[in-house]
Amino acid sequence: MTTDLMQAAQRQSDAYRLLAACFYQPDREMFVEENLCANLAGLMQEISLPAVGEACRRMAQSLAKNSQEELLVEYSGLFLGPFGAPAHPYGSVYLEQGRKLMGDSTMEVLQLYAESGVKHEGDEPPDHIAIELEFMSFLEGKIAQAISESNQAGRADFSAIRVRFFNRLLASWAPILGSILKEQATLAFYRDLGECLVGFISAEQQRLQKPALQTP
Amino acid sequence: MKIKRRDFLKLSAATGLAAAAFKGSTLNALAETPQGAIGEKPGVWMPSTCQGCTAWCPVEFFIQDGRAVKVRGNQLSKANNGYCCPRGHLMLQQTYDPDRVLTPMKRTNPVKGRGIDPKFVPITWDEALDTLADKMMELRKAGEPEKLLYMRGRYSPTSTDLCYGTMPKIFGSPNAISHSAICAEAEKMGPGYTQGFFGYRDYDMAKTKCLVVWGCDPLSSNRQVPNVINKFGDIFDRGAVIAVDPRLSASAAKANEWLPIKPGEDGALAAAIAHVLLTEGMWSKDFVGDFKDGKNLFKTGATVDEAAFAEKETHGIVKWWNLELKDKTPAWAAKITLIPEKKIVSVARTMGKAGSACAVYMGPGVAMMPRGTYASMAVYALNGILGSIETEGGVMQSSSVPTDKFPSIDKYLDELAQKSGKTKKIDGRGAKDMPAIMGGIDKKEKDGKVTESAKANVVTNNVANGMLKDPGAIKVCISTWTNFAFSCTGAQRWEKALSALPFFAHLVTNASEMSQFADLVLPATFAPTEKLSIITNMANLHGHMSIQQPVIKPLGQVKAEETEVMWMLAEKLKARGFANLFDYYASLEDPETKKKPANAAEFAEIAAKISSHKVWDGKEKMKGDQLSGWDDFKKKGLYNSETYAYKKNWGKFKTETKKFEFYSETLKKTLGLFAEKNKITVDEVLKASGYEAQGELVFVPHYESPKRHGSQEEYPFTFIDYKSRLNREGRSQNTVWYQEFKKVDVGDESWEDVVKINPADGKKLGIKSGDMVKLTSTNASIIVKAKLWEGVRPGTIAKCYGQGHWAYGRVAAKDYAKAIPRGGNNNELMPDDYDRLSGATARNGGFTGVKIQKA
Repeated sequence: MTTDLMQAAQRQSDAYRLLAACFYQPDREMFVEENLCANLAGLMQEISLPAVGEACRRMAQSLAKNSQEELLVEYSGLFLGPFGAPAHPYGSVYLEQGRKLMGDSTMEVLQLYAESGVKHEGDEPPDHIAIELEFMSFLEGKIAQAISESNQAGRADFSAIRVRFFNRLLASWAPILGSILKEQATLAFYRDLGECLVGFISAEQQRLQKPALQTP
Repeated sequence: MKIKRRDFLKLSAATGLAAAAFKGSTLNALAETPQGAIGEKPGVWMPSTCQGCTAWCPVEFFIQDGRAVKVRGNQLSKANNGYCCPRGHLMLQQTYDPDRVLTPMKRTNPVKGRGIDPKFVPITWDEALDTLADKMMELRKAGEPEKLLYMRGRYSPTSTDLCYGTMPKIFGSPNAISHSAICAEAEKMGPGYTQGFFGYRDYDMAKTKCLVVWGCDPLSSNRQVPNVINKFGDIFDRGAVIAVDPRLSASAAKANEWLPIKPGEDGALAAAIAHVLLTEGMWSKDFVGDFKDGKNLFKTGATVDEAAFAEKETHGIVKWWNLELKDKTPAWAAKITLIPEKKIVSVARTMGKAGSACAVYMGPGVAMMPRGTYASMAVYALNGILGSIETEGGVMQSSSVPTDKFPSIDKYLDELAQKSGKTKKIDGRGAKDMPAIMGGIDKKEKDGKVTESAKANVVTNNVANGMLKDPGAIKVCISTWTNFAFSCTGAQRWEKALSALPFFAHLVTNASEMSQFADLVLPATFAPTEKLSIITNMANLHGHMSIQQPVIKPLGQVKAEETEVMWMLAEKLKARGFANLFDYYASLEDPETKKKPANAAEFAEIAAKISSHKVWDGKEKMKGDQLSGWDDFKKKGLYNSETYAYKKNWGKFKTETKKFEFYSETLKKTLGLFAEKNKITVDEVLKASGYEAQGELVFVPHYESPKRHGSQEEYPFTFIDYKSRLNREGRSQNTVWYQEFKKVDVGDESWEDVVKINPADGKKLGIKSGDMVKLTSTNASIIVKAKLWEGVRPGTIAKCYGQGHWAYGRVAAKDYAKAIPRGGNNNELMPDDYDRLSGATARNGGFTGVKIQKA
């Protein structure tokens, strides 16, 4: 049972991490060489999200078809702008009045990072979708570790942060971002990434509504 | 944002971690650290400087957990009394604007134009500057470095010397172009050619008994907004406020008298007021002098013998009267200005009663129009008649603070740079029809011999014409904090010129219309919160030196464009065999530690320390604040100068006569030098430049009729443009606070860009508030929402500058992809024209005729 729970948490951690990777500046060669989308599809299949897995497989096919420049142009147009990105990757843009970076929600994100024992090292605001997904991966990893070490207190602490972070922050805006990608991306890779994000977060919303200790 | 480690993409099992020994997730942007908390440390106020308008106010940001959350004036500031104006608060939204450029980007679509996606992609600074340096070196190798153009928008008055003042020169290009001539340069012609002061004035507003705000709205904009807001109310207790403006501005709405002058007729009103002041004996006897026998001979229509008057601090009052004023009666002016004769007389008397405590606060509305030089001289000369030059309650020249200059660049100019640096500038200054003599006479001394010539000032907006005329003249352009394809009248010309430009690097906080044509868009620091520099300015009878510093960790990969980026570019040029720029930069020395810069950040700090050294050195007894060192200066953020001394320039004005010149010997000499160089007469210069005056009238403030593009018949409405109290030089339209609070501008509506039409005109045209209307000039059409409003007279329509962005962030531009603007850009409606004596761009004075149709 413990091993199952730990492996489940580890799977979640991987799923979040690989999904996070898809939101970084695309490196087609690296993505292909590491089977990023296929691996992500496999993980989604394992956690019983076949439709999401299918979207990930389509992403893999898109990677095969599109050039690095095509991916980069699309990524820039969606996330960077510079004339106002339609799919801003920062949580505060969706969660704050006044459409801004570094809002109160961003500070809440930083607070949860600090409480969990991680710091953000980059120049960009810390509520970037990739970083928030990475943080969920970190939390799932910590939970897996706590389970493997039979550390109930640690497991409870990280589970509580996970639920707080996910419900108050990530899940409050990631589906909107996902929908924008589905609607506005011109390359299938990013349209399917949107679908993947929406589907995965939706499933996680179901999962993380359960009491913390029963949830791997 | 890049993936730093390939492990981040691998499955846990693939990383070799056995399930039982799982030790957590692989991280990329995050790193493990001891558990902690934020929000426990108290916040701190950090000083910096706002550059949202030309006041350059010392301010403070409240910083909590590395985030700027609040703004106020620097509590030590004598210029703003510790307050900032409404636009200061927008700095928070500008800093944290999600549409900012945070990474260098390059264009991948070579086709340039409006509505064409440039397909920008992120690159590193290294790649960006490699590309730029390669392009620049191609020019050097071809022996044509003059084909490099640098254009500056908002800048630091100190750091600019290392960029605008250095980079093009050492490289070998004469084409360093400032934005100044689209600002208010024509306004400087009045004080310049009367008083020898080609600058913006200060006012003793704490003691002013009559404030005449003319062609500006100092409660909203114009160089010292917090100080005016602070002092404005008390003026009513001492006397009166009079506003001369075709539009009911914020200042006009509060004033005792609002004179809704017909646009462009300011010179006529000024002449009539001068006429009343002289005929009624209300000139300053202290400043101007008096008739020798004490009897006032200024009688309407009568010529006066110059010998009858003994002037004190002025020159040419009788000549002015004889040449211009004797027939310029209030009755004459009333017909032209549409201000009733009685009102002109009563206002003149109010001004005369306040005498030398009456300050005529002139703004760009008077002068930034074709032939605006003479209106500027006429309005400003009223201060001369009243004797309110450097008097209690009057008008001052600017206060200054001690600064250290950077070392000379002369020895870093190689032969090619010296030769090509002397080639003709792209802006056409100095041509027979574009004298651009703002600044007066240039005196140069070499080997004991003094040579004099007329100064040639920048003609910013003419650069586009220069580039269109000679498409090969400029091959590489670098521009910082500019958006001339939006902010210059006749904006469409810039689109054409930039489309044809072979290579363009734009250093900005936000991508804009101009970036649409860029090959590189490079992320500049948002100066007030992220850039280290030294800013100097003045207000409230004090000069100030104010630090601008990163009060937060700069976002993304932004760099200070005038220092850090120049250093990095110099490194790249050096690597390509041209080391002069780098060698110059590397020669700078920290005045405290004597260390030389080893990287871009050190270069920026040393530059700031050099500029400010005199005020924080602490060794000398200062006339103003006493600071104990660099750290003390950084902590306080400010040095205030001593208080301006009244009458300090009396008898030594920088004019040819050392007097205040109603008959400008200075203009006469300058124009003479210019005409001589061009081998034509002064009258021919004036004619070629589109002025009406000939002969002696050229040298006195006088009335010139307003020039109008578009006939009254075809374009029956006169268009006027004004500035919002929330405009941060046209950069704030992407903030939601700008849009939400737009209604703080009298007559304007939140989230709208309304054209104000008098209700009587609305009725005639069958237009009501809320209707969409098409405004058409000789230049273009724009479609905006109509608002019927009594704050403009029939026949005049007004619209605020700032909206109409078709390429900007998601708030400012309605739909970038389809190039649909939010509102309409006034600068597309107004054609490019100039006050050619100053080189300033026309943007006021109702020079644009418009027709209105329902859209």
